[in-house]
Amino acid sequence: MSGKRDPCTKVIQKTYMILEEERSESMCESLRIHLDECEACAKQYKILEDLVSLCQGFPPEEIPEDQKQRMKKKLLAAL
Amino acid sequence: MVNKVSKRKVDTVGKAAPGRGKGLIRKKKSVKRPMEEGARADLELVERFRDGDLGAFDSIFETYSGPLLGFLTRMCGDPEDAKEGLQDTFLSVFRYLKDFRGEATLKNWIFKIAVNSCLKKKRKMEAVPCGEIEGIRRENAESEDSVHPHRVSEGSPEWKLDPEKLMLDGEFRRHMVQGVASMPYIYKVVINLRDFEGLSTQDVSRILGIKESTVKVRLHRARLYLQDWLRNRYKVSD
Repeated sequence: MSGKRDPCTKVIQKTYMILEEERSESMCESLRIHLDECEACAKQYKILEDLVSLCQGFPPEEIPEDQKQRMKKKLLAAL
Repeated sequence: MVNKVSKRKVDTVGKAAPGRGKGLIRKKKSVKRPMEEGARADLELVERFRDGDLGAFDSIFETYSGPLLGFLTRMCGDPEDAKEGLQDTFLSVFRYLKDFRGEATLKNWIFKIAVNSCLKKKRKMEAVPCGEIEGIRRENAESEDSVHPHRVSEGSPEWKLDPEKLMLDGEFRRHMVQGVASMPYIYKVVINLRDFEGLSTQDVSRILGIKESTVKVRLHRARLYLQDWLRNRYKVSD
């Protein structure tokens, strides 16, 4: 990319691929250059990454013990 | 690879994900290994279940009931429907477990059953066609090139608290669940499996019977939809 600034739309596409771990070194480098220059894209990058982190850290649903026992009983009766 | 991205930017985006690896870009390796170990343990469980060991039934229920209920709640948006779906899913799981051949991990196999159960329910209740996401600006484009690059400048959510603190906020969690549940089926099923349940793009593609490239496009749209959804509830000025 050597000095040539990417259009923001292309950068967002790259950001997405980087989030998906399909990045190449040149892709990371061009993203780095763009993010250093474009505050809006850098913000968007952070927001997307934070959002994905939030989804990934979402706790599993807790089921009260009595409900679990009732469910298991029903299942065993049906099997 | 992360080192290739500007240190300054990475520092701002590389926060630890609560309960998982540190930062999104570094995340995948730390997720993958435990899944493989878990899959081995699952296969042993299935063998025990086939041998009539009720302890195996119990272990499978205990391992998957929480994640499955979370998945189903985000799919249907209603906790009571989700519980009903959980019961149906487990019924199918235990009925057909004898046929499990280990071609997929037990987790993937179970989630495929859960997806089928949601699909069945959706078809029964379908009044609204499962079309494109409404309210998201570039709904009809298959290419991600049409994403508005500076959505943030229009008031995207800025997490004032760190993600770990947000996860402790029950109201925030409810908004996330509602946001996902409000998406059309084709998007919420992808974000649910990929981001919330941590399955790989390849696994999601196999479970849903769609191309990996389709998984990626739908995942990106779902993330933007959720971003918009949260933005509307946590609006802050730039």
